[in-house]
Formats: sequence, structure tokens, C-alpha cells
Amino acid sequence: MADAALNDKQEDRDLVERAQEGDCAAFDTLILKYTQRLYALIYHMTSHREDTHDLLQEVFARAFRNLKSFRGQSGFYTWIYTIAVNLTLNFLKKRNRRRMLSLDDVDSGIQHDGEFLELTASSDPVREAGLHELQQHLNEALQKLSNDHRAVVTLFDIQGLPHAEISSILKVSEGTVRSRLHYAHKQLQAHLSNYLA
Amino acid sequence: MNKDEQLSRLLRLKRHETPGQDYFAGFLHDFHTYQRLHAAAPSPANPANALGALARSREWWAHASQGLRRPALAWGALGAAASAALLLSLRPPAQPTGLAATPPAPPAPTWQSRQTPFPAAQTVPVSSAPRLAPPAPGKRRTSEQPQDLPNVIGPATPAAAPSAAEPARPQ
Repeated sequence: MADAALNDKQEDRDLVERAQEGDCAAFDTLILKYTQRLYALIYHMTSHREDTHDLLQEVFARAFRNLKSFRGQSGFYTWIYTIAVNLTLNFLKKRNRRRMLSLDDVDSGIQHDGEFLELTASSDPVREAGLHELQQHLNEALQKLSNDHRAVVTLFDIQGLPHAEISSILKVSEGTVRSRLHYAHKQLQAHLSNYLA
Repeated sequence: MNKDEQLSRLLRLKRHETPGQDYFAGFLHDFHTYQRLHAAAPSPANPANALGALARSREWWAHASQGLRRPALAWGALGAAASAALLLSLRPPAQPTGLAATPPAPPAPTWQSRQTPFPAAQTVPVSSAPRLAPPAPGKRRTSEQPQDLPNVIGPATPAAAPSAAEPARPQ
């Protein structure tokens, strides 16, 4: 596991070096590698797929423009995640009034997800609510959080990053990450109380 | 299973919201198009670029002040620094304190020094009647008494003396 992570970082370093020397194909490889994860990050923070598409393009464009200044003190992964989070947070500050959701489809894989099956088996509200309704409620509850709290929930609960990694991306202490998570969970529990036994 | 765990499970279900593999397959192409469109635009003379630079600098500042506990203070400090810079730029240059080799500059012309002498042609005599002598003490001046002082409107210049060119006041 640790070896895989090391190899991954080394692979990124090589690609970044090549891209810094002008190899556009190397940068394309980095785009292909990180598109899905960054899309998910931005999408869960905005709950809007068109905005996500625009922001994702801007994230890679900015990364490409600033690639020369990337010195490799942090991993490329952390660096580009920081760009994505900051761009999205700035965008959300400006977008404050718009609350319309524009959601992606839920893929059919959810029907075979062990956690989903367990939740529908153990919780009547989850079973009774249609998949679309559940998705709508989850997104609405997330949008009720502040932008900073939603960022932490997205990175930790949805994307599964460890506290230390989140702290590096957001440039805040691990204590701040934990306290934001705690507060956000309390709020989400209140908003989603119908689904929690 | 406690509520926190249940919540985490619910949130993890959001991982199944995706735009589909077709989207990701086409993203690279979209990005290349986006880059080409944006690469064609820049020119320093273009005001849109100046606005873009302004927006980027605002964005940079917003990002820089994000880590601070009280961003309002950072904005305040920025405002104070900008005001100080403005005041310094408006302040007149300091007077030389040492013994300067250069002679002092002549005083700048004032409003009065810029005034041209009142032309004689424009002086208007109040009266062309014979001058009256000053009245005796305790007596009122009468029109028959001669007058020593010129009685004209305008500056007392030699040219202001009555001349033939000056129109006589109707009696």
C-alpha cells in the first residue's frame, strides 16, 4: 500500500518534470489521471454539474500556467487539489445567491453497493425514499453547510482523504479540520434526521 | 451503528453520482479546445485583459487573506496601506534644508502679480466739471468749489489723467 503510494508520487514527479520541460503529452496524462477525482471534489462542493465542468477546466488551465512554479515541496496531487478547492471556494463566494441544484445521475452501481443495500435493509426511510429523492435531500443538506464545512465533508466523508492530507490541502491545522468536521456532522445529522435511526 | 457512522455511510453514497465515463473520455478534448480559445485572446492592450488581471489580483488577495483568522482586518490593513500610499504621493516635495548651490527659484506668480495695469482708455471720469476746492472746515462741499483730487474710477496711474479721448460725462 505504502509502496503503491510512493510509486504513484514518483510517477507524478516524472510527469510533472516532463511537462515542465514542455512535454504536453505528460500533462495530458496528469489530466486523465486526476479528472475523475477533481470532478468529484468540485461537484460535491457545488452540486452543479455545469459549474463543475467550467471550474474543472479552469483548474487544469491554472495548473498548466503555474506548472513552472511548482517546486515539488508537496505532491502534485496535493498541489492541484489546493488549486481546485481554492478556485471552487472563490467561485462559491460569488455564487452565494444561486441555490439551484444541477445533479448528475446516480450510476446503477449503487444497487450493488454493500453499504446502500445495508442502509436500505436497516432503515425504513432510506428504503421508502426513492433514490432520486435521497440524492436530492443529501445534496440539499450539503448545500446548507458553509463552504468551508462542505469542503471538509467532501474531502473526508465522500473522498476519503485522511485529516493530515486535508490539512495540507486547505492550509489549516488538523485540529481545525477535525472541529469543522464535528460541527458539519452535527448540522448534517439535524438536516438528515429522517434517514438516521 | 451510531448516527455519525450512519451519516458517513449516507454521504459515501454520493460517490455514485457521476457524469458517466463518456464525459471523462471527452474531457481532454474539451480542455484542449478551451485552452486554444483562451490562448488566442491575450494582448496587454486589451482592456478585458486588464480587468482579468484585476480579477486575478483580487482572487490572489482573497486567497491570501483566507488563511487569516479575521479577513476583515486584512482588508482594513490593505485599505490603510493604500490610503497612506495615496497621501505620500500627494504630499509636496520637501524643501531643501542644506545650503543648496542653486539659487532660490523666483516666487511663483500670484493672482495679483498677474494683473495687467488698468488701461487708461478704460478709465471713466466721474465728472468733467471744473475741479472744486476742498470745503472749508465745518462747511459742506458745493458744486462751485474747485476740486484738487482727480475724481476717476480706476487705478491712480499717470495715464489715468483725463484726456481728450475720454468721453465727457453728460452734465
